[in-house]
Amino acid sequence: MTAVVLAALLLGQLAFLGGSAVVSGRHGTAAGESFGSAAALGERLYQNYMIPFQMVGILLLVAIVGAVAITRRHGRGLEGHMGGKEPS
Amino acid sequence: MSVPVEYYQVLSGILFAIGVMGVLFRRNLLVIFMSVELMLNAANISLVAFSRSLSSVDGQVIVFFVLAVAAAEVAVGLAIIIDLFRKESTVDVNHVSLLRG
Amino acid sequence: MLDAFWLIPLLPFLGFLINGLAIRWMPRKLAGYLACAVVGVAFVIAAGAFFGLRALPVEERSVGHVLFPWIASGAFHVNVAFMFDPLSAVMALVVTGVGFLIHVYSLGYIEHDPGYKRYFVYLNLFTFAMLLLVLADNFLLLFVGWEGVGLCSYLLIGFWYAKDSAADAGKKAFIVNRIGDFGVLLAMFLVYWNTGSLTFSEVFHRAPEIFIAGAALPTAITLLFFLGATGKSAQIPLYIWLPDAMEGPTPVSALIHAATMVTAGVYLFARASSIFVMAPAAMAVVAVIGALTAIVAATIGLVQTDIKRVLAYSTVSQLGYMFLAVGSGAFVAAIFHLMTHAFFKALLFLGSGSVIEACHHEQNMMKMGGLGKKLPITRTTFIAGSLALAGVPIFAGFFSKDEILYSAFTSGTLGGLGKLLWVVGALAALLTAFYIIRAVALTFYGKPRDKHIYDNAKESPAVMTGPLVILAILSTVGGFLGIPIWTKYNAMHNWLGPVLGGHGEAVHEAAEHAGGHGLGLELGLMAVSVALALAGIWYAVQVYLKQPGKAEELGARFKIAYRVLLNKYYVDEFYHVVVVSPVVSGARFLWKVFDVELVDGAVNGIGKLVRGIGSVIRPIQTGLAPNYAVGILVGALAIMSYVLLGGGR
Repeated sequence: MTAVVLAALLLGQLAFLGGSAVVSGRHGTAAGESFGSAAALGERLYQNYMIPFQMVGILLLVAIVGAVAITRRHGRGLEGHMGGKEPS
Repeated sequence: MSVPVEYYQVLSGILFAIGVMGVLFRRNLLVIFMSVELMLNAANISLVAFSRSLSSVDGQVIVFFVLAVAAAEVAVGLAIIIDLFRKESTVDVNHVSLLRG
Repeated sequence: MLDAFWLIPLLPFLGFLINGLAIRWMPRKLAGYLACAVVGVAFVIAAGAFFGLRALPVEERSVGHVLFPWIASGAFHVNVAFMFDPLSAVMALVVTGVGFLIHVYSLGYIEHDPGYKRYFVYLNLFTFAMLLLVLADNFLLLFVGWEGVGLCSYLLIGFWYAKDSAADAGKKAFIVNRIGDFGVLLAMFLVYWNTGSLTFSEVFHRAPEIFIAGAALPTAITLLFFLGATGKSAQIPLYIWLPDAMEGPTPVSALIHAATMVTAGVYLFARASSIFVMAPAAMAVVAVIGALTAIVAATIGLVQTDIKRVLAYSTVSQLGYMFLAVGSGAFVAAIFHLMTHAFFKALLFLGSGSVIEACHHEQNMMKMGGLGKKLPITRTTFIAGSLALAGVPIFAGFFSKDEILYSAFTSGTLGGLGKLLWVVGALAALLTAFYIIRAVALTFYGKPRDKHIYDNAKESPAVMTGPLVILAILSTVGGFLGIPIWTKYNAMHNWLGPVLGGHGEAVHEAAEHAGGHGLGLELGLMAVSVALALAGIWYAVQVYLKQPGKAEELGARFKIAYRVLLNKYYVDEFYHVVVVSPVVSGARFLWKVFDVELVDGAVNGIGKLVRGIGSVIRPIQTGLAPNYAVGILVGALAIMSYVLLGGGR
């Protein structure tokens, strides 16, 4: 029940924000053609944000290892491709 | 004529709200997970929109990182759900209170 | 040797450290020898330092040595520093000399005791503390030594701690002493507050300007220090611990409760004499209490059956004499008597220890008798000590006691009171002679009253009789250090006079000038005291040896008096009702009500409060994830609302 109330509140606030934005009726500005190209993104990544880039790499590695570790069933792996109840 | 950035904001807000409601009202853990993803992507939309509006590539760099982290989160989260299902045989979020203290 | 005098206290401390830390691994005999050796070497150094001091001109006889600065807080400076002057020299020689003899004696006495090593650890610690006391150059370090000997007294009285009476006696000694120490502390505060220092040289230098003769301040200081002295030196009203202290091993009684610790009060008064002479009223109080203690203790000693109790009350009585001397302003006489008393009282205690050992730990004189034949050396030395105590001429006690009585009689500050106190002191001397010869007669002469004890008695080994002989010699000839009248030959006065000043010097100079009259008076008083001593001895021999049954007859005739004396005037019982019981009840109240209910209640209450708050908050943690999601959302909404409504501008 409380969840409904809260969700209503959230929608209300967003509507207010959105409405005030639309009502003001501003127009967007165009950006250059080369904006947002892969080259520009890559430049940024490998120059200014190099360290976070590397850290995210490690983070992904850790996440994968963690995911595998969590879902391991001990003793698994003794059954080969052809063994067990798996359909061939 | 380009799309005004406010429209993107509204879109982002609506998507975010949908995601929130999904987290609050759904019982299936996997659906809740998807709703969380939805919220993340809503934020991404907003970031990209402002990146174009302010002509700064930094916004898109942030999106890059958010996506990477979201992927990592999904990997680990799904692993946990699998483990939970093996133990409790349910993914109904109202039936699991292991964190009770 | 004089430059190394600061080693004197440190050597026993070294013995204490080594024996104490290595107590598990130290071989038994080695521990004993080491303990004796350090005191022996300390004595040698003290003797050397004494001669070194003697070689100096009179005005320069004071050597200092700072070990290290101790307290330096603002204007308050106290160092751990020692001072060697004629007074310290005498005290150090007595402590180390008699102490050494007692250490050697202990080798024999304690030989079969399981606590052998612990005994010597404590004994060395005591010697260290006592030397700290007498060699300190400031009140604070003196007080450290003062407390230290109190502690060691507790440890040694309660040496056989498994015995309830011994443990109780140790506690009693320490607690009663503490009451006195309170007085010492207050006095030290007053001294510091008014002179700005605790170092002797500075305080005494400033004393004449700061203390007005007869004013309240020096009187208060004197009385407060005297309170400490009544505790430490067993005067009325705080003497009650000393008879109980006989629970400790006999050499302990000899060292601590005859020769050294109990004399600390007398030393304090001698050392700070320049302050005390400014408070004639307080000095009179000291003299009166001293004389009173002397006679009261002597009366109690008349009827005791335990040989050590007799000696204990005798010590209390003789200390009374020393304070009578101090109160009369005769500081030199007091120190002189301190020294002779150390000789003969230690001798008497060690002798009694020899008897007790021979009688297989029996201390009741009523079970002895006729032991003189079996223990000849003990008997002879004990008699020498007894004659010294009784004040028989040529023996040491005669000269010193006589000088005290003469000083009291002629004291300028006491005036007429002094003559009255002379009478009291003379009477006490009569009683002294009586009770000690009574002890001799009961123990060594007459028919043996217990056949078993008599048959098994045998003389003690040389390690015990040796010190007895040495002390006997000292008791016999030691008095000649203080021959009266002919000041030129009075070694004690020549040595200590410049340091202590006071009445003794003035009197002797007056006697010199007055020529015949002063001499006649002194000889006359001397004759009276000798007559009294001889009378006491004669009557004791009559009652206990020549006329069997006389003692019982006297006891029956003066039944009430006998009972009062036997029960020590019921002083302990009085204190129990007036002081001990209320304190114990008060403590019990504080415990049951204040501590258990209030303090514990408050602390436990805080725990209960925390637990209560916890149990109120716990339901929030349901473990259901959606609940937590709701919580997150609430927080996010709150922030958004805050921003929307104009916050954070």
